[in-house]
Amino acid sequence: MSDSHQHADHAHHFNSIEHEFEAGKLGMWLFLVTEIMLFGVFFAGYGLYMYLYPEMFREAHHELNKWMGALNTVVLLISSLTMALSIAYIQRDQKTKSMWMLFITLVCAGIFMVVKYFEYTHKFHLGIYPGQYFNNPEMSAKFPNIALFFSFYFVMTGTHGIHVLIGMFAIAWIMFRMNRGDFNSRKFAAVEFVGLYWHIVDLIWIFLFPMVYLVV
Amino acid sequence: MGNNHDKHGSHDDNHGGGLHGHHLIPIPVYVKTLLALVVLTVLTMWISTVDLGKFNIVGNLGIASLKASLVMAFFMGLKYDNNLNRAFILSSFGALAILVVMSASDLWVRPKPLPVAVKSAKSLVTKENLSKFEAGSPEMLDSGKKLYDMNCAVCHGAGGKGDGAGGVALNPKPRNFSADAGTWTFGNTAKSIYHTLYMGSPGTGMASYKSLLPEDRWALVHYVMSLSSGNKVGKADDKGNADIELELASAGGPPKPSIPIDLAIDRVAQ
Repeated sequence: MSDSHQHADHAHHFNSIEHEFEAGKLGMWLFLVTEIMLFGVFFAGYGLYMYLYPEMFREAHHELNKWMGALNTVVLLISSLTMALSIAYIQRDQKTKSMWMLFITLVCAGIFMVVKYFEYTHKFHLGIYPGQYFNNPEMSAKFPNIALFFSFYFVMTGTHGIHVLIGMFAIAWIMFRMNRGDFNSRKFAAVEFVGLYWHIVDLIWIFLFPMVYLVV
Repeated sequence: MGNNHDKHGSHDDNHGGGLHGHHLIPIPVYVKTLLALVVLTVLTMWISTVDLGKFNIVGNLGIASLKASLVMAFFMGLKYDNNLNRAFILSSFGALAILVVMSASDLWVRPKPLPVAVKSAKSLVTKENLSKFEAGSPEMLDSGKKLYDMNCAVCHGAGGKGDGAGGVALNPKPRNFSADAGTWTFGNTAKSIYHTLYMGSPGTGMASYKSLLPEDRWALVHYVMSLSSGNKVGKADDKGNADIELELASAGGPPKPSIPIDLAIDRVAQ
């Protein structure tokens, strides 16, 4: 902390770079709270409707490929590790390793989206669309309001997928900045904050996967 | 930065760079965290293949919570973070718990909605046997009474006098089936009543009951006719014919996956 006034390594309205980092992190956590509230509402609604229509949810969730879901779970967990390692390495001034870890994270995110693409196109192929666009007469014959489950499925995984895409842009941006030399063991706030965001995306999937693909 | 001074610098496996006060989590800790997460994922997959009844949900959500705790503690570093950040994230789970408990308790005290599943996807009514449904039968009267009690009695009253509790605030009042046939908006012949059930009565509380199967609507027609007395006036027979034809033409298509809002409200209100 002693050298924090030598040159402007922090914004002028902060006492020090540590002060700036802690303030930024608090703001990031506050944002993550809103993310949890956003997805929490989906989970609550999903759970309550599952209580109302248990047989329908049981029937419908068999349409989901739990192995693809499991693959995506592991892919996201690995990406969470590499994201954390990227921060660990930049904290130790090992920029090349940190860059590689970010790159692997980005690749994992890409794999996740490709698997999601195959899952979605398979659903569309079966006429499984959200809400009023649902068009699978066999399923409707058994449960007239079965589209309800798939609406939840598309909204929850879709919102999560958008978060993955945004995360990919954020990671790419961090890689660009790291390559430019913006970060070192003293100054890595942006890496840390993108990391926190990326972990919350993983965290949401940790709940989404068993609730939608496995439970019932 | 003083909040983790007790931890700082301990068991650092690397050359110890980094901001004074930033706790460096040893890299093996991250790797072990991932291994634990993968093991828990395998466990949750396995649990889902065993039928434990309600404990499937408890088990899977328990494992998910454990995984989430690991991610937050080590990947997100909350184990080494300050209490303010911890309080923030815990508050979100607290708020979520309030949301779930309040919504669940509301749902708990309501009767469960009646299943909207239809008995058969395809209507039993065809061009050939239409006359049978139009003529009616004692069985149809029986099933008509059941359907009436479930769908209509709320507003029209159990005896069909238009005095159901649900109709008190309606304007115009629900049809009193014992009133003179001339006062019925669409008339009280089979086809006229069929039209009213099919299209509803615009401008009144009478909703369309298109979501019912045609045979169920015919059953209702005969039960409602049994409640009405005296002469029969058919003001909407042509419209009824048109409805029937339209329906026969589209028979075999996918059943409507939804029920009318009014019906849904009625059913919840029951």
